[in-house]
Amino acid sequence: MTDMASYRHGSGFARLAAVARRAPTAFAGGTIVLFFVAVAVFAPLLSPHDPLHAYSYDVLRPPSATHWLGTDGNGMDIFSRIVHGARLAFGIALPAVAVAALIGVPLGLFAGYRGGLIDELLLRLMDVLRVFPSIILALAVVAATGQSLLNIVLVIGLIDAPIFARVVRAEVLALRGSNFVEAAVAAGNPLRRVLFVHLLPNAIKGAMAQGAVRFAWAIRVSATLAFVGVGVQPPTPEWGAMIRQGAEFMVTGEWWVALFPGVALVLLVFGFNMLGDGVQDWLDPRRRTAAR
Amino acid sequence: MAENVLEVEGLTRTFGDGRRIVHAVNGVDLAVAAGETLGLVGESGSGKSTIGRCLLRLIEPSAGRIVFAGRDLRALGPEALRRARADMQMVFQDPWGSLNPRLTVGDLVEEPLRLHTTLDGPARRARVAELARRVSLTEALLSRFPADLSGGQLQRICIARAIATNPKLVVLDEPTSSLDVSVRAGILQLLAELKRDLGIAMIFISHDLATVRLVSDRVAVLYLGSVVETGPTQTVFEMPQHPYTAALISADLSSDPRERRRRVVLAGEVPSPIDLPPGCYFASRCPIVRDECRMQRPRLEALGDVRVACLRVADGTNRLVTTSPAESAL
Repeated sequence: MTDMASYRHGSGFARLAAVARRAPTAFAGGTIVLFFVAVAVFAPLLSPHDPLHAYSYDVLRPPSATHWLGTDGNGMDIFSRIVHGARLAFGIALPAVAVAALIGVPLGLFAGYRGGLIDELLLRLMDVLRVFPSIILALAVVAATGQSLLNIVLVIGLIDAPIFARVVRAEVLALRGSNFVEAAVAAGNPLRRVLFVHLLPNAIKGAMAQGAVRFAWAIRVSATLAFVGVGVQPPTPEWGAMIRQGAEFMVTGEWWVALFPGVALVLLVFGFNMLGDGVQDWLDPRRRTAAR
Repeated sequence: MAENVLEVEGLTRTFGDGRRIVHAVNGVDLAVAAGETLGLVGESGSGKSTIGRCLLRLIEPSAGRIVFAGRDLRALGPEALRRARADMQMVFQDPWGSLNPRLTVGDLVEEPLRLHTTLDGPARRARVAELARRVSLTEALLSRFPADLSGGQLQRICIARAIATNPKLVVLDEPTSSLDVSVRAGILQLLAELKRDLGIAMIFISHDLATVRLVSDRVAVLYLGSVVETGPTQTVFEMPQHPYTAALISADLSSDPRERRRRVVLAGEVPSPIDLPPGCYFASRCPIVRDECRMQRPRLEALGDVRVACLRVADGTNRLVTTSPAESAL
C-alpha cells in the first residue's frame, strides 16, 4: 500500500503554506495544538519544579517568582503540574482517538460499501449511543470497569468509534456509486484494496476533521472523569483532577489552583475544535467563510 | 466463425422490488469471436450499459448463461471472478470519474499488473512505460494525478489500464461519447490500432451509429433490453432488416449533404420497461405493425448472415425501405 506513493511528487511545506492562507481557523487551531504538543514533549525542560514534589511550607501560595502560577493544596508547583498535565492529556487522548479511528474507520468503510446487516447494526448502535450522553456513559463504564489508565483509554476509544464509523460511512455512501469504485472492481481489486486503497483516501477527509474534534472530546472526557473522581487519581498531574482540587479552594479565595489548569484545558480543547472546524470548512466549499 | 471468447444466452436483468420490476435486459443472446469487435447500439434506456456490466458481472445478471473463454462466468466464486478479470476489462464512458483522483495515473496503469501478475516493481514500471507509449502518452505524464490531464489523455490512461494484462476481451461503454469530437478521432484510431496489433476482442457500446459502423465487425441492435437485429456491420447498415434498425439508420445524418434519404420518423411511445407488452416490444412504434405483432413475441431468426427478430420476416415484408411509400411515410 505504501509504495503506491511511488509516482507522487510535490513538497509538504508548500501545501502547509497554502493551508495557512486558505484555512486561517484551522491554522490557528493547529498552532495552539502544536504549542501544547511542544509543551508535552519538552515538559521536563520547561518545568522549574518536580510536579509531584510537595513543598509543605508553601501550601496554597499565590503566583510568585518561585512558583509562577502558585502552589496547590499539597504545596505542589502548579505551573510544573500543568506542563506535565499536557503529557497526560495527550497520553490519554492520542491512544483513545487512535483506538476509535482504528475500529471506526474500517467499520464505516465496510458498512458504507456493503450495506446490509453490518450497516444496519452500525446504525442501531449509533442510535443507542445517541440516547446516552456520551460523557455520562463513559463515566458509568469507567466506574464499572475500574479506573486504570488503559481502561480510560479503551472506554473513550470504544465510545468514540461509532462516530468515526458514521462519518466515514456517510462519505463512502456518496462514493460507492462512483465510476472509479466500479472501475476498481472491474480491474480486479479485492475488497480489501477497494476499501483501503480506493475508498479510504477519498473518504478520510471528514474523518480527519472529525478526528481533531474527537481529540478535544477525549481530553474533555478524561478531565471530566478525573474531575468527578473516577478518572486519573491525584496527585497525578491531570488537569481535571487539578481543577477538582482547586474547586474546593475557590470559595476561600485561592482562585489560582483551579483557574490555571482550567485555562490550559479550555485552550487546548478550543485549539482542537478550531482545527477540526477549520479543516471541515476548508474541505467543504459551501461552508468556506474566508475568501481565498 | 472462430472460437468465441464470449457466449451469452438468455441474459436477463431486472431491477426493483417485487411490486415494481424494471425489465432492463430481456433475454439477450450474444457471441463475440476472438479478436472481433461487436458493436452494441440502441437508444438510451435500451439496456446497453446494463448488458455491458452484466457481461463482466459488475452487475449480477438475474438469469442467463455467460460463457467466457470456455468457463461459466456466473458459476465463479468471488476470488475466481476477481482473477478472471485479468482477461476481461472495461473502459467507462466518463474518464474523469473512472480514475481514482488520489492515485497518480502511473499507479493506476500499474494497478492491474500489481493485481494480476507476478512482475516485480521494475518490470511493472517498464511495462507501464511501454503501455504509455502504446497509447501515445509521454512517460512524464505518469507522475501526474488525473485532475492534471485532459479528457482524451485520461481516456488513453483508462485504455492503457484496460489492456495492461493483455485481456481477451475489453468492454468499452460509450468510450468516446463524453469527449470532444476532435479528441474522439484519436481514441477511435487508437482502438483500431489495438485491435489490429493485439487482437483483443471488444464490445463497443454506443448510441453513435457512425462510430459503431467505423469500429465494429458485427453489430447488435438493442431495443428495450433485447436484441432486434444482429449481423455483420456492413450488411446491417446497408440492408437493415428490422424496421427499428431501418428507422435508427435513417435518423442518422449522412456526411454527404446532397444525399437525400427517406427518413423514417417513428411515432408512438416506447413501452415502459416496468410493464412490457406481451408481443413485440417495438409494436407500439412500428410503422408496419400487424395485429399478430401485438400478441406474439418474435424470436431472433437467421436470415442470410444476419439474425432478426421480426414476425414479418416470415413472408418477406419486413424491409422498410422496400415497402410502399404510403407505409414508410409513417
